[in-house]
Amino acid sequence: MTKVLKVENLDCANCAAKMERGIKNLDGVKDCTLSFMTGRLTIDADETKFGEIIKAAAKLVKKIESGANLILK
Amino acid sequence: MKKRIIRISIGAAVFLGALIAGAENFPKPAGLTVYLAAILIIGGDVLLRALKNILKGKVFDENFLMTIAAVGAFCIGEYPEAAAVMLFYQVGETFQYLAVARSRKSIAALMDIRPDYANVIRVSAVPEKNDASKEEFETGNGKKTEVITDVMNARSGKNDLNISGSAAGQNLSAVDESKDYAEAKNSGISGSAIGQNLYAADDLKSRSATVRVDPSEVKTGEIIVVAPGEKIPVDAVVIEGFSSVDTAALTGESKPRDVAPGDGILSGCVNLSGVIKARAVKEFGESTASKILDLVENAGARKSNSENFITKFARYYTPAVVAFALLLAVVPPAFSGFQNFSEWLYNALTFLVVSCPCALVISIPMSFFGGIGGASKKGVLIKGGNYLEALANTETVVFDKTGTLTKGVLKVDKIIAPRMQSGELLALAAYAESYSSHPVSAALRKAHGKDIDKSLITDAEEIAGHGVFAVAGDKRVHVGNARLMKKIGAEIEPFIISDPQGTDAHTAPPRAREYAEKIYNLPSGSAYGDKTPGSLKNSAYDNKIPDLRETDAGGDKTADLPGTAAYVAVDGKYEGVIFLSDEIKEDSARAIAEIRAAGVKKIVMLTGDGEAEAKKVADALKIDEYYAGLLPSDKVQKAEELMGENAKNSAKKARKAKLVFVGDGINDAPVLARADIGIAMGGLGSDAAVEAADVVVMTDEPSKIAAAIRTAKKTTAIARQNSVFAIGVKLLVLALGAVGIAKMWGAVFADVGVAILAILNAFRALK
Repeated sequence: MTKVLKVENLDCANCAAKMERGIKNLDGVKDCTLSFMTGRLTIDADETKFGEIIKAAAKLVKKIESGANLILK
Repeated sequence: MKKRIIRISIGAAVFLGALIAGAENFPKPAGLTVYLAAILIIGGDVLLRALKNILKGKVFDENFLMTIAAVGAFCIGEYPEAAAVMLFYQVGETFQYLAVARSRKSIAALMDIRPDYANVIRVSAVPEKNDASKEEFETGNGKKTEVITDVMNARSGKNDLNISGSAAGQNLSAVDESKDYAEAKNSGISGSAIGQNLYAADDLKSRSATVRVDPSEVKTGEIIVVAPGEKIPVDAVVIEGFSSVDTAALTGESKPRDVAPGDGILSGCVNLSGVIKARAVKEFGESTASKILDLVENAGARKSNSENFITKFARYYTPAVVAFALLLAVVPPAFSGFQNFSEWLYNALTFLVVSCPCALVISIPMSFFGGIGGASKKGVLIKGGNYLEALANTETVVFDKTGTLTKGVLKVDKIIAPRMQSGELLALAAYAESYSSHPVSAALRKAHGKDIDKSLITDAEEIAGHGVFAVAGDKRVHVGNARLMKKIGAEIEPFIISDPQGTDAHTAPPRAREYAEKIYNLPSGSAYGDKTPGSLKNSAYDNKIPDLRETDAGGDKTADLPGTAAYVAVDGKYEGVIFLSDEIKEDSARAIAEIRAAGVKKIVMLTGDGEAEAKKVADALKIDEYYAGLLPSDKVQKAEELMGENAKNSAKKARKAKLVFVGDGINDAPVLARADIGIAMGGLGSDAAVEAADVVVMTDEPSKIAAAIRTAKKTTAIARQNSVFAIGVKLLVLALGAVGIAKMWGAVFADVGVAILAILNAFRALK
């Protein structure tokens, strides 16, 4: 299933690319896109693992760009 | 942000003061302190972030790189350089931040179709006398019935009013009101409001009021009020009032559209002149404005190849440059016994400064986002950067004819009336057809152009599969196909058409009988084939078509005359024939010319209609190739063939040359999906079209396709300029830095300067 989330205060385009890559490599994630311009994060993943994936993604976002936040839409 | 600017300004002042005073020549502790202070004021946050990142084990982050550069410069005694690196970096970052924020904002403003509020008519607050939960009602038979207006209970079942006391003596009004309950409940009116519905209907009306709510709170069926200047919150149907609405935000169309009761209005449009009341037909989430916003926001998810390339490039670029910097710091000095180590170290630090990838990465998505935003302003929705990029490489455009190049509406073309004025024949036909809702009838009435005095029609009848019969005045009129003429024994007379299309293209003068046979011999799946507008189906003339096909001997695959024919017989005797055909859209010819001018090499038309009709349209519009008499499955096959040809004939690499298919999005979903890029026309308000296509043209103007291709070309050009420029400058600075010509602050300047120029360039894509 696919979920749409949002990354706020995304200031660095390369960081967005890194986040996208990082989330894509998380366990259970089939596909992931992050648009730098809109901050829209789309994750396609196993439904059962979604909770963990979102937690891991939030951590990853924070790690790559400390000012940015992952929020549930 | 403001604080940051002030802080940087103070730091810059300290730095400038130190520079003017020549603080680097001061005795060591003093000079060092001044510059250190400047660096800390300017770039304290950068240092802090870098430190944090190192602790987290993350290097190659731009904070880290800048810190290394500044610290390194400081260590080799280049204090002003160290401060300058920080200053330029911070100034550049700030500018970049502002530019990104501005462009995000301006694109958001461009797509500012999200309504802020809705005015809904709802029942107002509970009046004083209804404060008690129990009310006494006078029942029909004079007995008092206690009705508990307990909201919670009333809500438990739709018509399940909780009436205690005498259930038998329940009065009629209470029953009626139970309906109100149900309605109130369905429309989600709050509990206190439900209680009120126990009052008489007019009382309820007097107490209802307009309330301002969030658009997402409007339920379907509720009545909304839109004042002039307000955005329409949800898709609705006007029930009261006349106005005009500005649809520009959705369609790019500047001419306002007039609306009257019964007309649909779409969310995101702006009401211009009068107050209108309308019934919501969709909830906010399902309304046009939400759908479009969602689509445009989602467009960022489908990334263009250039964006993917640049992020991939950045991924290897930074580590490579850092590695190279290390080599630069170590290898050359090693040959000279580390005599000039600090000189090479300086060059290496310059490398580090240039290794930041952000300038590269930022400009591409921004250009594409701008391009998608700019296109949506023109009424063209592009579902992703990849499609925008593909559009720029379009070499073949394939149009489906009906509803795309033509209006999909019939129009009278030619009248043959051997014994009367053609106007007279038309009038007779129009009268005879006055009770029919068929598109042929509508076209005849429209061509007649005058009001029809229905009192003159004493008898009217539809003859399924054949046409109509009516008695108009003293005349018995039959209008229909050749079968009808045969049925009533009216013999179609020979006639000569010197110029059937009104062009020189077609000079065959078939005799009437032959013509009638041609009409009989339409290829299967043609004429009124799959692309017939929906309204053409399910009516009398529709039946005539399969009938005609059944008589198809299977030989002749062409009909020599375009369009459809309505034969007219008066008092059982043939009197003439009226030819009708689909009208070409006003801007189709211009659209074809513009598409060609935009660099498209081949334009093809596919249609389910017959050869003659197809040729007429193709000739009129100067289309390169056309294929007539196609079934829907034939169209997919044809599109595939054309895609193969397109790839083969292209000078570009085979996979780059793209084929666009343009359809109305309703009947041709398989072809839309199969083509490299599927474009649906007239997408406004049509969910099916929006769903099926990669690109949606909101209006039904084919010229918008040319506009979309132009926008795509411009956007990809901007993206290309940006990436070439950014990579070029970086390589140049690297080369100069390696041999010690470029100073470190110059490198920073080049880096952020490029980013800002690229962002400014990306703005052009918006227009």
